[in-house]
Amino acid sequence: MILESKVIEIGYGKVNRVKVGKNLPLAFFGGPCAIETKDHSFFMADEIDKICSKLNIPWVFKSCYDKDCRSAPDSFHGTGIDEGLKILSDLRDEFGIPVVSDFSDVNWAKPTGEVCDMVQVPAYLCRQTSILRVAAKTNRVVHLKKGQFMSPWNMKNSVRKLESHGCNQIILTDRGTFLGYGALVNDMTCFPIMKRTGYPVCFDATHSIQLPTSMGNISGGQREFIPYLVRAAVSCGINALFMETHNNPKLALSDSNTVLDLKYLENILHQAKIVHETRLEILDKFGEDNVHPE
Amino acid sequence: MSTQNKNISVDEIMLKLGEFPVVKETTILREAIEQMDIHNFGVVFVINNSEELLGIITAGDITRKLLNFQKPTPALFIDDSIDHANKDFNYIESGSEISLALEICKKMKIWDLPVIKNKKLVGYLNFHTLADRFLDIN
Repeated sequence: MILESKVIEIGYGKVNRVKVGKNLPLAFFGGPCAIETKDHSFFMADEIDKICSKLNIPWVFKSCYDKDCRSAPDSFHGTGIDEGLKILSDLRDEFGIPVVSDFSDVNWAKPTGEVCDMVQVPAYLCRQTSILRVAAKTNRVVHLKKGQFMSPWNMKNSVRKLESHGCNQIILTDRGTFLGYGALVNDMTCFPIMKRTGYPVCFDATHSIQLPTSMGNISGGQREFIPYLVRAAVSCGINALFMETHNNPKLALSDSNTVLDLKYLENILHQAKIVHETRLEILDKFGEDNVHPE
Repeated sequence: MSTQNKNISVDEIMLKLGEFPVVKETTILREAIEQMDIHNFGVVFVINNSEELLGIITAGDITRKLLNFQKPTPALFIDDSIDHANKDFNYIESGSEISLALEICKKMKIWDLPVIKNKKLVGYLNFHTLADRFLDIN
């Protein structure tokens, strides 16, 4: 059953509200993969905010306090939950921007939801019932990433788990699908398929170009393909674009091989905005669901 | 069949709820097919939470889907049942005479007929039910 498309509103308290869904302007979720320091987070938020203000793109600051899926035991995990959430809380107050962080332990959901405007379920955990249950209980928008091992149609099962615990504020994101070992591929049909749940869909461009654990104990990536995939995904009807970005990727403490260099962000977002607006014009003229499968 | 037999109510010979396959509209298609298998019928009825009949899926519908619908089977299996149900179905009202049911089956060339009361599914008539009742086939 194709459910009516929902509009999801991200934000509580004094921050800007970001509405995602239907034919609304494309939203952006972005920031450094991991929170490194307060100064760095504030610097990145300021830089991204200038770009998004210039382009008139609604956005949510994304950065995580604990990266629990790093490949090596000694890789940077993050600031930890207490310091990380304090930085995100201060950042909300300073910039008036909604924030999102993932969480990977059931005990972290409640404090994450108390600070963040949106809580993110990591792709590897997207079918874990215990994680989905506590995500739903935060009463925040749940940003649910499609596992690299999941088909887009099976995300319906995870959505129904969230709904069964009272959550109906969900955004579904594709971050690539495993193609054998050490490689990901993007199936653009995943967006119309996941949209059948009724929830907005998002494309995670920077994790999609990841080469999982291709460097032995860290993941590689092919950043050069980001613009191609972004244009393709936006033209396939995404409602939001997710990209991790850093002012100095070589020194990034997490996902240094995949984060987008900040110097390219304005260019990519500008392209995405133009493709999104052009798509809406095309839909006005031709419609979208105009080929029947049988 | 005698005239007396034709005048009896469909309610007397229909299968009752629990004796034939029924699923909710959001039950996935695989589970709907499973219900057909469990009850050994080539039809499953799709209802909403108020037990109103929304559609019917037959084994023939599934066969045609498999031939014409090129989706991967796992993607087809997880679709909601209502997506694959015929929503323009024939039915008979509870309390009607069996002769009317037979007329509908003959005219529409169908073997399965849901019995409805105030839009709600209350029973199921099919060829085998009628044969068991009116023909001494044992």
